[in-house]
Amino acid sequence: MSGRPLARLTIVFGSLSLVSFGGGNTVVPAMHREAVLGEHWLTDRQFADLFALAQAAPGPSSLFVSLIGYTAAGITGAMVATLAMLGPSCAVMYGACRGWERLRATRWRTAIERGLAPVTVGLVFASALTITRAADHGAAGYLLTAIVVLVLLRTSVSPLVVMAAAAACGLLGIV
Amino acid sequence: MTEPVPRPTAAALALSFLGIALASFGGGLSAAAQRELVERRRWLDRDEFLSALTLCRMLPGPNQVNMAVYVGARYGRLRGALASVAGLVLVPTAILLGLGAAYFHYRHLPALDAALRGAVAAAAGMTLAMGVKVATPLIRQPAGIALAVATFVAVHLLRWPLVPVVAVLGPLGMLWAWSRANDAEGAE
Repeated sequence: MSGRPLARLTIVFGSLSLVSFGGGNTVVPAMHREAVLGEHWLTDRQFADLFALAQAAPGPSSLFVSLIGYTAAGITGAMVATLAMLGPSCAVMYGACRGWERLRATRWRTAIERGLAPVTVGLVFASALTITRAADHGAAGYLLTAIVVLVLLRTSVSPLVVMAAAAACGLLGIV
Repeated sequence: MTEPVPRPTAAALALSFLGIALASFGGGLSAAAQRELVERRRWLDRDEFLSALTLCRMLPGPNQVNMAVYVGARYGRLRGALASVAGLVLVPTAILLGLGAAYFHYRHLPALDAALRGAVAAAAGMTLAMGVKVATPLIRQPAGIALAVATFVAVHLLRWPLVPVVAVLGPLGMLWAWSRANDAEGAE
């Protein structure tokens, strides 16, 4: 296995790790740019499919990075990508645990907490549109996406049930 | 300081987080984590859980993984943190890679292609729904909305690289929240 993809995976996911405020799903546009547009490790459709797999599978959906690593450099790539994505943010979290209680209820804490919310909102919407665009689905696909949003916001149906129902819609040829 | 329960071993931490991982779908810190950590194991009381959750949300990284670091570090320092994170991600990663391998083997089957078409539409919807939830408190805060729109435009429409965009707009957001906190204090 050549070292180049491993180096790319380390640099790209290692730096994304430190800006993944709101979780791994906020940095999907950057992953798409690197893996699909830049390095051609996978196609648009495969990127969207694997994202859906990661959402449906148990565990943190950020483990999507392991699949991107896998397409770049097999199992080694999967491990390198996952470590690069989780390592730096875990290190920051570990360091912060100690000072956290002291920071309780100070204005600093409120500022950090609330100030990042707008940026997270922008990133999450960009991520959702990256997936939609990569999937390149028709009007029925967009309609299904809209229905899923409404169901998740208005009801307490489990995301797994929603995912299964959507897959069934696909099987029946509706989307 | 009284410890509510005996200090868990690294193995107990790993097993607990494995259970949390297997019970949670669709990302985010699920109700499963609160049930396991607060009600079942009593490693955190409700207040500490919520306070830790805030920290998990404001720092980079997936919330679930950050929570594993927090609980692990609290009860077993570095070793505990590593055990908790390993418990949370090892088995799910193996499952996901198995699914991925199956995907590349069978993706030409028309039935799988059709089912994934639906699943992708749902995955996009799940992400959008998360965006709407985070956005709701921003309504009636023009500066917050402007920041969210600026982030979206920079990353999605202009396709600027994400790391510098967040490095600039993140601190701007904090500055905005800082001044708002000042105003609120003045009004009280």
